Formats: sequence, C-alpha cells, structure tokens
Amino acid sequence: MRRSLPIFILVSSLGMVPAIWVASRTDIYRGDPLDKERVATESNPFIAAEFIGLREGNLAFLFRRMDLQVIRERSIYQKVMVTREDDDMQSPGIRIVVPGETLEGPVELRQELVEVGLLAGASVQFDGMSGRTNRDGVLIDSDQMILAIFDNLKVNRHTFTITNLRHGNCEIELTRLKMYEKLDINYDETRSSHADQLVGEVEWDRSSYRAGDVAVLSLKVTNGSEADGIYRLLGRTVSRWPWLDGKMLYIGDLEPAESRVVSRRLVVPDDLPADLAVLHLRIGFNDLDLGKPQVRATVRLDAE
Amino acid sequence: MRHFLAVMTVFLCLLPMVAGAQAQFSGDSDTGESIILMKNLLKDLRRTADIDQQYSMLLRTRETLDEIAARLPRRERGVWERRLQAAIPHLHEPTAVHTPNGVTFNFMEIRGKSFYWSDPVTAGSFVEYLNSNRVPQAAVETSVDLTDNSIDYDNETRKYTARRPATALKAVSYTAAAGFAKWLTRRQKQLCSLPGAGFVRLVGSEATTCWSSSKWKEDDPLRRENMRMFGVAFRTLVYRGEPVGELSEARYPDAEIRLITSIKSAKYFYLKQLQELQ
Repeated sequence: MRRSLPIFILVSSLGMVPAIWVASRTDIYRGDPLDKERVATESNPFIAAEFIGLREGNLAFLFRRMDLQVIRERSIYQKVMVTREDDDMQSPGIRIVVPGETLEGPVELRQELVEVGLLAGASVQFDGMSGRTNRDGVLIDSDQMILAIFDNLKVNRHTFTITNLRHGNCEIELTRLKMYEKLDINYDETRSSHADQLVGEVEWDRSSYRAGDVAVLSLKVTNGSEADGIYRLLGRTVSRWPWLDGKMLYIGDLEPAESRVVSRRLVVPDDLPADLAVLHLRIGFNDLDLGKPQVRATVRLDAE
Repeated sequence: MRHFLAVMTVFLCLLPMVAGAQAQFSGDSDTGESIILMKNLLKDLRRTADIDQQYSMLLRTRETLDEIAARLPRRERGVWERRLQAAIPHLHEPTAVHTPNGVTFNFMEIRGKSFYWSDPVTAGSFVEYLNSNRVPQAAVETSVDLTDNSIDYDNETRKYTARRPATALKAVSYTAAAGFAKWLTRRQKQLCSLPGAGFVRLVGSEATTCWSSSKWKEDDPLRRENMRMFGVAFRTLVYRGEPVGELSEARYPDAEIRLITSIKSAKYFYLKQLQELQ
C-alpha cells in the first residue's frame, strides 16, 4: 500500500498535464500598419483651368495638367501574437510582434488629384477658335472672343470647352461676377463715384483701316479730380455701325489724378459704306452715379 | 397906343391856341383819311388775285397804321392790329420766299397740309450765323468741315468768310443744323425748325440727306436699354431718303441743313422781301 501511494500520485499528476496546457490560447492579430502596397493605379488625366484676370489687357486663363488617379492599394501590418489564459480571454494577454512576418489588409480604393504640370506651349481649341498657351500655361484671350461675349449685358455666365488633342478637354465657366471681381469692379463698393471730371481720349493703332483689318481702340481715361474718386467705372461704345457699337470697356476704380488705358480689338467688316471716309462713335460711361462726360471719337477708312 | 398894345397882346395869346386847333383839325382829318384808306386796302386785298398787289396792300396798311398809331386811342389801335392779323390768312401763299439771311423756302402741300420746305442752307447763310453767334473756331470744326465747305476764319477780325457763299453747306452735324435753325428762329422771330423724319421722307428724294428734328427710337429693346444705361442717344438723320439713328456729331458728306417753316412765317418773310424791295 505504501509502495502504491507514490505511484498513484505520479500517475494522477501526469493526468493533470494536458489540463494545464489547454488553459492558455494564442491568437494572431494585425498590428500597427507598416506600409501600403499599391496594387494598381488608374490614371485619368485632364486639364484644369482658372480665370486669373487680365494679362496684356485681355482676359487670361491659367491651364494646369492634372491627373485624377484611382489607386487600388492594401495596407501591410505587423503580425502580432497574443496569448491569453483560457479562463481570462478579456485580458490583454501576452503580445508578441512576430519579427520578419507581416499581415496584408484588403484592397482599398482611393482617388488622388495630382498636378502634373502647367499646360505650357500647347495648342487649344475653344468656341470654334484656336489659341496657344504661353510657357507659363496661360492662355490670353488676345482676340477678345470671350470678352466680346460679355459685351451683351444680358450674359452673366459663359461656359466653354477648351480642347487639347493630347491632354483632353476642360470646361470653363466664366461668370460676369468673377470677371468683375478680377477686374476690380466691385458693386459692394458703397462710396459715391464722382466722374464729372473724367477725361477720355481715344487712340487707334493705325491712321486708317480697310475691310478685314483689325482695329485696336485704346481709351485712356484720367480722373481729373484732385479730391474725388471714380468707382466701378464701365465704358461702352455707341455707334450707328455695328462693328463699332456695344464694346464694353472695363475700367474699374480711378483714384484722383489716376489714369488707365483699356483697349478693344474691332474687326473691320467687309460691308463698309463706300461713300463715307469717317465713321463716328461715342463712349458712354456708367458708374451707377449721374453726370459723366462722354468721349467722342472717329475712325478713318481707307479708300479702296 | 394902349389900344394897339392890348389888341396885340390878345392876338399873341390867341395865336398858339388857333394854330393848335387848326393842327388838331388837320390831324383828325388825316387820321380819318388814313382809316378809310386802311379799310379800303384790306377790302381790296381780299379781292385781288395778284399776289404782289395783295402783299403790297397789306404792307401799305401796315405803314399807314404805323403812321397814325400814335394818334389812335389804344383800344382802336388794338382793333386795327387784329384786323391786320386777320387779313394774313387771306394772302395767297407765295411759291417761294427768301429770308433776309438768304434761306429759300418753297411751298409744299402734302396730304392737305401746307408747309414751306427750304432749299439746302448755303455756306453764306451759315457764315452769317457763325459770325452773329461768334461761334469759336474749335466748336465749328467739330460740327462742320470748314475746308470742304470753303469757309475761312480770319484770326484778326475773328470773322468767318465763305469763298462760295451761294453753294449748299455740306457735311454738317446735327449740332450745327439745330444751332442754325435756332439762330434763324431767334433772328427772324419766326419759327424755322428742322423737319421731322417722316416729313423729309415725304418731300425729299432718294438723294436727300439731312438732319431731322425727330429723336431716334431704337427698335432693339436691349440696345435701347444699353444706350440709356450709358447715357448716349441718337438723332435721326435722313440718309438718302431713309431715316437712320446717328450720333449728333456725325458729319456725312451729303448731309445738308434743310428747314421747314409755317405758311404764316413764309408770308411774313414775303412781306419782308417786298419791304426791302420798296
């Protein structure tokens, strides 16, 4: 009996061993993200345009080459082993980062807007016309085709599409409000304008014109007052002749003694009156206040 | 001697009284005769068919009335003035009249209405206007082409002269045309105005180019609004028979000054014409 007791205890202890091993559990988790693995990138290049105000006296738009990238990627995580007691699964357990081993996350989609660069020196078509951006990616409306659309005072918004054969299309929306903002014509300006001493002078780039010529009218306006400012000043040509009529001149604010020159390009039509050598036009002004002088001008036609 | 002196004193005292009475009697007699003469003249004026005789009669009546006007009571003078005015409608319309400033008006009857329509105003008449109003050279140059119209300006005398005064003035602006009409009206005390565009279309030909008194009404509402917004207005120029809206400073090579005046004014001018001949 004395000999069998130790044997019994030994055998009983051996029976407990599996029970001790079953009491703890080890799980594998994603630890901290280590990196992202790009699975695929889909490129969607396009042109972005921004109205930047006046350059060389004309409307100017800045063009950028952009890429809206659709990126498929997955995250790479640390591999973490956590061992807990079976009867205490809520405890933090023993956390071990497995060296040299990682876990992958699922593939995720995201979009990224990337500026590729300026659309410099590129040919573009818009509204049935052609143009070219300069080395700074700026397209200047040097023919004043866009500006001319806003000569119609009922037009408050113009949307047009710029096309570049290599880089795609771009839709631009130009509003009168935005244009006025960039041209410093601010209708929130509440100061009273005094344009009674406004002095205007018209100059042409040539002494006379023939049918088909482009005539450049330059209006130099000076605020002759030494005390009062002129604000929100707009000019408009009025003439019997449609090609000389209804051209807007955006002047803006003129502080005392300040001068500004604004220009318009006018295309001399083919159907010029045969018997008239001089055509008349007048420039009227509007600054929401009364009492403005007008500027009279003539344009001389070449005898054919 | 005493008796003689008394008689002389009485004679000397009575002499002015007698002379005065005699003069009074003679004046009354002249006035009476003049009134009879005026009555007869006005009566005959309505009967005669000869236009020059008619106007001469009216002129004679006018002169007679002017002669005796001081002697007539105010009320009677007024009555005669009204009779003279009432006689004017009975005068025949002359076919053409000339103002003292050289503007010729021609009789026109259109759709039952009679007017006088002027020949183009001549450079001579226009020069008279410029000199009379002392229009500065700079102002003239903006409204009429002095070189084309052979008008010279003498800086010393500050006077304009026309090298060919009888030729029609051309290439005038509305400002010049309206200024001339205003001046002629003031000078002659008779309304001489620019014709309405509709009138010019009726009386003018396809070659007529002249300024009218009509304001231009722009058909396009948007353009009209824009012009109003920028404070610019057009006048109506009849250009080769068709009305067009133009700026008042525009100078078309063919644009002339044509005026209209009423029958009454034309008769006044004819009377003046006859007066000058006499």
